[in-house]
Amino acid sequence: MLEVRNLKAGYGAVDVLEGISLSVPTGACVCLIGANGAGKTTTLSAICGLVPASSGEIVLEDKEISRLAVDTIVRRGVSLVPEGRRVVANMSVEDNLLVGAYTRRDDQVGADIEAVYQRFGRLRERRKQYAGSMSGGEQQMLAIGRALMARPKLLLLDEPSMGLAPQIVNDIFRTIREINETGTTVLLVEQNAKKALSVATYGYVLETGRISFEGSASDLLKSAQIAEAYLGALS
Amino acid sequence: MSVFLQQVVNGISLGSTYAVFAMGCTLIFGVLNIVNMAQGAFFMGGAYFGLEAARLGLPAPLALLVALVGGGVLGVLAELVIFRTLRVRGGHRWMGLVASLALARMMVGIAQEIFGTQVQRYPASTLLDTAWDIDGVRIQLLQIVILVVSIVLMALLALTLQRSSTGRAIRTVAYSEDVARIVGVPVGRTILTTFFLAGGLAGAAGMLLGNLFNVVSPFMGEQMLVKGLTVIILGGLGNVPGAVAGGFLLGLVEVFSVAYVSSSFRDAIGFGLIFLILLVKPTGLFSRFEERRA
Ligand SMILES: Nc1ncnc2c1ncn2[C@@H]1O[C@H](COP(=O)(O)OP(=O)(O)OP(=O)(O)O)[C@@H](O)[C@H]1O
Ligand SMILES: [Mg+2]
Repeated sequence: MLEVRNLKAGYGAVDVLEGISLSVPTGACVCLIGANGAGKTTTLSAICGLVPASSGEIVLEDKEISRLAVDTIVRRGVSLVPEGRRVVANMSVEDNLLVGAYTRRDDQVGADIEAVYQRFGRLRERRKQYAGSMSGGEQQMLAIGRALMARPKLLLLDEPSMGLAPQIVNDIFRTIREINETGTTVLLVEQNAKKALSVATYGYVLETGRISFEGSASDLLKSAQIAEAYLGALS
Repeated sequence: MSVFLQQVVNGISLGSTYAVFAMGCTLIFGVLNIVNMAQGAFFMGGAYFGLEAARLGLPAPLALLVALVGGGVLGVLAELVIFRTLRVRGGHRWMGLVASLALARMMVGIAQEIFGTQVQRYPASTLLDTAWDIDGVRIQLLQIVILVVSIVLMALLALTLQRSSTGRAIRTVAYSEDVARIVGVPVGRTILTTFFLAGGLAGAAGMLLGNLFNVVSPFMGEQMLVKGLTVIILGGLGNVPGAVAGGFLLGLVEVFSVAYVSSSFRDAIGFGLIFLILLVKPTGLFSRFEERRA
């Protein structure tokens, strides 16, 4: 589905990513873990075109996308659930979902809204409410629902567990697994490595702009190095 | 009593044109957070577009359409030439203010050059001269038509913003350009659409007010810009219903101060009242909560 090769990207003249390569096979759930400031958000931003790549390749379904505009990339099937959720606070829940379907012109939008409400009952209850008036967990559900409304082939999630109560975190991760099992390819960025590796089958560790380690979820969980750096503090 | 009712009628028809203009202002200043000082010049431009169309023999509804589209095109040009260029090059907001002020001045100069500084009037055929006298209150058909047209324009804008895909895109861009990009909204094109809508409303308001007083002049946009700014602050920045209510309120206040005090006090009273309201309620008369950009 997605191949990133030797990607360098950053803000202004300075590259935050110093040449990273990663691969997300169709149907897989892959995670990217790393400490604060490692460049996880920058990686996702570069994939969906928010941050320009200064060199390297981003290939989606065998087509180079690193020079395309964000809306074109969304149309190609990439949706981002951004860090900090970023729902439109002064717009209703339903309008947030509808704007998620902005790139679509088919007649299935209503049915997909219904599907999101099926998945997240709370959103149905609050459909007329301003998104900004909801709890963090509800906003996270909305951010995921909004991304799904574009019918993505590849879903990018940036720290969906951030700032949420453990119970809600479990719900969110269960949802991510369900979304992945119904055929959507997932690239998940997390600091909660343990949780991420319980859903993902493969993982990459990012350290100050470079991939320092990669392997299957079980390899990563076993690796003493990873345990020390990212799991210890959280377990 | 009939003096009072007469002022209500006059104030509402005048206020409706203010409301149409103010809606355009609130889209640019409040929703997009762009300071566009040429909005009044689009109003003046619209009045001349409508005037020329009427002189060419177009019926009034078509002339209004010409004013609207003409104003919209001016808005689009301002965005392309000034605001987008400044955004791309990282210019400061104040540069947009000065550049659009310069554009407004240029447009006034061009209008003076083409049409002269003399006040121009619509051809008699464009204006509806029917009027009724009900218990000493004179109601012109023109006033009613202007009110109805204004209400239709307001309703169309409200529907567009609330119910259409474009409207949701505009509101999302207003909240955050990054969020808009993430969901696949083409930000540049959406801003362009907003400029078209705002310019179109200004142009239409120009023709409506030009008709109401049957006066078109190169300088009509400058006062209007001040009124538009006042009304959108009064109504709460970015608040469309607030802009409408503020427009009607300003129209009524002006007409009443002319009738009951003196025409030379019109602005002193109108703006004095607004000044008071703002001191008491700085977020605007009609804002339920302060709208924030992310
Ligand atoms: N908009 C920006 N402009 C300039 N530098 C930025 C910007 N965003 C991030 N950076 C810098 O890029 C580096 C990587 O940031 P990034 O947000 O990608 O990290 P992250 O791995 O997502 O961290 P976190 O876990 O805190 O979200 C940091 O050093 C940060 O200071
Ligand atoms: Mg981050």
